[in-house]
Amino acid sequence: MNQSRREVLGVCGAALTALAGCSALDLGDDDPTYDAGRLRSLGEKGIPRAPTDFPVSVPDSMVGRHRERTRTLLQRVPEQPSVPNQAVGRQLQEDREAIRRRLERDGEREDAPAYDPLARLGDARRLRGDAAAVDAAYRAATDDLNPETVTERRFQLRLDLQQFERGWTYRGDDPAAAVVVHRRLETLRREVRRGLFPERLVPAEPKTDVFAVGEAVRRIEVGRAALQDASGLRARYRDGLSKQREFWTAFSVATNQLRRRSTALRRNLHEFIRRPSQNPPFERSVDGTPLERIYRDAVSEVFHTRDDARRARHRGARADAVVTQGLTLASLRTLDAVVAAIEDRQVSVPSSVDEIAAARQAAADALDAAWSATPTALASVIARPAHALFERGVDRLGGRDSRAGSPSTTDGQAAFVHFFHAARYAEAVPQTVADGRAALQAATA
Amino acid sequence: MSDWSRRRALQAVAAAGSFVLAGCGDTNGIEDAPPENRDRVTNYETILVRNSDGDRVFVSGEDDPDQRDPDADVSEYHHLNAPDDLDGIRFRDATGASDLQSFVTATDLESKSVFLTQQLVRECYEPRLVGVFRTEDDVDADFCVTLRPADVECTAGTRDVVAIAIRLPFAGDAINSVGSGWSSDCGPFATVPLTEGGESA
Repeated sequence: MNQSRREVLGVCGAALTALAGCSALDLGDDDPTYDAGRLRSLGEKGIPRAPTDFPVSVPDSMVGRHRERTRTLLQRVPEQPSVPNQAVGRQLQEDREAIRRRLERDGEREDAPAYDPLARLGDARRLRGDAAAVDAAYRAATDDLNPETVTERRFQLRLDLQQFERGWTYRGDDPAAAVVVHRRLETLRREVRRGLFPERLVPAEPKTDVFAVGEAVRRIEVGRAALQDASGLRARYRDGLSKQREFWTAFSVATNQLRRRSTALRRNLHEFIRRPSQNPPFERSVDGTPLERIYRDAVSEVFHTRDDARRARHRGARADAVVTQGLTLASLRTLDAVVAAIEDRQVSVPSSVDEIAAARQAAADALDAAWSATPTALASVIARPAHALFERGVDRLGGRDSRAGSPSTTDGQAAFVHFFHAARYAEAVPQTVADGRAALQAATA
Repeated sequence: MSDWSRRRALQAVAAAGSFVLAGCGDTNGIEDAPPENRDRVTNYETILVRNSDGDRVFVSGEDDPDQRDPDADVSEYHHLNAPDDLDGIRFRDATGASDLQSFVTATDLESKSVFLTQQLVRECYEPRLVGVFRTEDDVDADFCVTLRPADVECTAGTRDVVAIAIRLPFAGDAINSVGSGWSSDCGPFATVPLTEGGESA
């Protein structure tokens, strides 16, 4: 934040509001209203597609393995399970049918270009978990499940995870690509770990709570699937490396470098990083307007990313620590830009749908520019929050839900908030990616 | 790695439904967060009776004890803290009603009090006690409903009348407000099973 600029603007706000240059952008007392049909059309313009730049390809066989297992589990449950407790039987029947339909539907989606390979793999893991849950619940209901086998499967998963973690030294060649790949492996590791800790214990008499048994088995099954995926992706990644270096230490050094940058920026923005209970620190009144929402959302993102970064460090997730520290830096830059826009009166309550459309277009353009930053794999993950904000804007206009009602003026303003925020976030991405790349290069030099 | 949009969505959901029972009760929905000065009551005794013919186990007030109305709303709850309070309660000739009556009438209302409730519960489900809570002048009993064991023979569309009495370890003189909440799902939260015939907690 440029302190002197803010001071100058403060003078403008306090003393010169009567002049056209300042007062022309004042918020009016009359709330604008927007044409619902035009808002709806705006929502239907779609969402820019994020690049799928994961450095490792996902072969069909990895998805196929989960789907095959899903089919096997499903075949073990009759279409109409016969259980004395009719409500249990009906629930099993409904669950089984829902999984069968999803299996069919996901099969039809296989060739859709928008189906990100990693998302497809994740969907297949979850479906496999659901099938394991209904199978286990059915077996619990029919006295065909020994609780000890559940415990044994969990124990075996723990051993296999330890085997996977042994010797994990964050190997790679290009450090930016390695960050992205190892961060994904860390995510999968967390999925595995969830399988090791049941939310509820399996009852000693499984038939007393068959769905609790199913839930426990689901977590183990998803954990097993995640471990298979992590092992498969890591093997493919290593096979494709021209040379292998260990980035175990380098990632921590890079994280600290990015953290220092964040700390400096946070210090400059100190007065603007306020809790929700505090009033916005602007001389211009933004209370109850979309501008206040933009500001508060930007501050909230700063808190969230800071917490994510702290948790990643404490977990020892070294690759995630690099990325979440980058996201923290991006969120601080976004807040800086939001504050400047509000203070400079570059943003005001949109008076027409055209202004909301312009905000949408600006966000789409900024996203395109963000995704063009190199290395693209890193840019893609740093730009993810901006993309999510864009999606929220479209959702607010009913763009992805054909059953949604007509968007109201409030929806239009909320969409504007998200588009504006998305644009500022996306604009922060190229510099943040450059900082991340520089920090990684310095750490690995 | 955190999935940004999903995590934010979950936070929003968590904020909107922070009280476990809010908004999902069958009757007398528990809409408000518990007051901070609410204490959990312990050392109570319970009895549950289940009547599978759909008739009420007890009636109160002007209700005709012999009237059979399958569409009638059977739900009611009472806090009994004096012998006179029993005058308004008539136990019917129904399964378990005599056990329930014995439990209630055997209570020393000088030193204890009784929370008495009756609800329709689906045959394949059973009620559980989430907890009994009190302030200086208020007592609340919260329940949830969960599936019965898989080997219990039952029909999905049928409902039973379930009556529950809780013998509370305090006299009820200071109590001037009583409430009850029922949730249609126990979720993963700790609950107290209410076995038929009664038990202590």
